[in-house]
Amino acid sequence: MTVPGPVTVDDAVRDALDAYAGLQAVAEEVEDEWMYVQDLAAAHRERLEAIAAEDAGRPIDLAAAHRERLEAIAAEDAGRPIHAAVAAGITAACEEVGRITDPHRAIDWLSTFPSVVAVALGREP
Amino acid sequence: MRFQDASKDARAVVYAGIQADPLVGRVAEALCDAPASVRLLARAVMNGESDDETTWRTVFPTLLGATADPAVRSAAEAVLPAALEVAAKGASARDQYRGAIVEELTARLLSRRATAVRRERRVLFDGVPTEIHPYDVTVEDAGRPEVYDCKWGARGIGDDVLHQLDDARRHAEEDDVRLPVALVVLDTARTCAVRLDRTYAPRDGTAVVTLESMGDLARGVPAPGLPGPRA
Repeated sequence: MTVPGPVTVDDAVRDALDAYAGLQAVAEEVEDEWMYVQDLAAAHRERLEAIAAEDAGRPIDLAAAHRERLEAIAAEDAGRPIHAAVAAGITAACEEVGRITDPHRAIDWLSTFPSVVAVALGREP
Repeated sequence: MRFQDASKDARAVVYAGIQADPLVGRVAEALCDAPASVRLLARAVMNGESDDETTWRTVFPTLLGATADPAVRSAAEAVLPAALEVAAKGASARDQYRGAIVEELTARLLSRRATAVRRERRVLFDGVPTEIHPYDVTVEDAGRPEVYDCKWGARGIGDDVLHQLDDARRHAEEDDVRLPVALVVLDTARTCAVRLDRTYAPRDGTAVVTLESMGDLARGVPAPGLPGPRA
């Protein structure tokens, strides 16, 4: 069975960073907060890149916090790759922020989205 | 030093209606003992994008999926429907609800260790002009006062609020009163650090309580400064 979406942690982070760049471009329309947007994006991009570097090449299921439970579920449902839910989660989050057109809301999401990705990958916010 | 109710202008009357909405209490109660990851879920949902529950279940597989830790999943399940109700409000009302929820959450956590937790209060000092804006939450237990300002996100942190908190702390010190002051922000420590990095307002004596450290409010007075990210 082929699962759509990222397979490894660095795949997932690459997709997230692409979505994040789009979000940043929308947020930059708020001129008064331009510097904040740059600082915010740099800080969160750095964290996501660090996660990707730490877990480069690792299948995303192995990066999840609840590996044992994921494996138990996979054992019960042998045809379903265990990373499917995480891959779908990150893809859905990327799509969600891709729809944002309001620059003020984009600023809210610049701080929230990287943490959403981190939580999906089994990290703390 | 003494506390006083803020005067009720038209804005305050409207806002009081929102503060009294049971939905605010429901979200706050669900967040009191929730882990940071579930507080993040609440923030994401109440940011106001999709109002489709299925979308959020997909986005947060480690909180709401079949593989999630049962305790975490239970906390997330309690938060999701209430957060979606807030998200469904119009943009302007949603902003007010979000602010009211952070205040209510702060007040509920503080009430676990203090008896006199009040809302919308001014702090008065002899010979010092009164601040225009009241503090969102105060602890007025005898001999152990504390004041808190609450923000939905780090973007709400501005020089004005940092000055106001620091002024209160310094004036209390001049009256020989120790007055812990804090900013409670439903945002990550990383984002708050970015916001604070470019401010020149005084903040060494102000505690910054973030999404990761909010639960600590129930256990003791927060120390000045900004705790770092926890992972």
